Amino acid sequence: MVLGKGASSSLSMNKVDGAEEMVDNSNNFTVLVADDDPLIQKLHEMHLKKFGLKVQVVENGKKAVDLCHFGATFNLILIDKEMPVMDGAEATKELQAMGVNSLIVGVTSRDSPYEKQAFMEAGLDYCFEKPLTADKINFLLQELNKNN
Amino acid sequence: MEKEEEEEEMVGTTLSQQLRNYIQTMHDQGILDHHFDHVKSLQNEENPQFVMEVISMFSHDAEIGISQATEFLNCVVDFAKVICFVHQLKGSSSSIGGQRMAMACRELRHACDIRSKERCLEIFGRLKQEYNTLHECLNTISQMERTIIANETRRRQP
Repeated sequence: MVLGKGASSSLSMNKVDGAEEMVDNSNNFTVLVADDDPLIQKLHEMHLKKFGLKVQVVENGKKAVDLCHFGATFNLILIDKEMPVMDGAEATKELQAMGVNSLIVGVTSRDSPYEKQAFMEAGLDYCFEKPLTADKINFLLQELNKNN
Repeated sequence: MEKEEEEEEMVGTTLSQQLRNYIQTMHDQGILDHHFDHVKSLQNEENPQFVMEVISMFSHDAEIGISQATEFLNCVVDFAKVICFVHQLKGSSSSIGGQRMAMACRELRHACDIRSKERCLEIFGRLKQEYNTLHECLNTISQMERTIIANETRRRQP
């Protein structure tokens, strides 16, 4: 995991051996998933819904930007790097320029620190390597609860 | 009638246990990892065919990806395009828990980074083998899931 500017360098995740420790989602957080792979879209959606999150899915960065431009708000945006039309880095820059008040998290297959850092520099708060896991979702919910 | 229902329930239980044992064997061989268990845990009564759907989607995507990577590894290698497909394959195979296939994708990425066609072709051959193994494994799981669901549906019919 790569951290964004201002993020704490000492993080702890609630990892319980062999079981998910579900973080409370009574705040009804909403999530936008931007990924062009239908399999990843489906998996992310199901993982997030299991945590009681409300999920919307788009297949490229431009659709993510357009949604926010036209007034949709999300607590969390999970964004892939490689997407057609507009990739994750470009979309992230646009979302930041718009002043979107969401936690923006990259979820990418790219595993080199250099590539993840390059993605981070677009303005991500965090960058995870795929796959999205319960631990990562728990961590993000903790961050959202803190900010809330 | 009751005895028939009991027997059907036992068959269902036996099949479920067989499926669990099969998945454990795949874990032991390193073909699947815990991410597959997470995928399986997402299946519920509202989505009883979730695992089968995900397996079908993965196989479809992987076959297209491998076919396109084959094209880009022919004659003059387009490493940049191969890298794109490798990353997509890595993302989908790791997300479904295909551990060995995901590792092969990682190695192929490194071979592309050093611009070695020979190494790329060698590892790509291994990646295809790992995909075939994973595909066979997932097909078996899918068939067992299908049978379990069919038995459960029959059991619940009045």
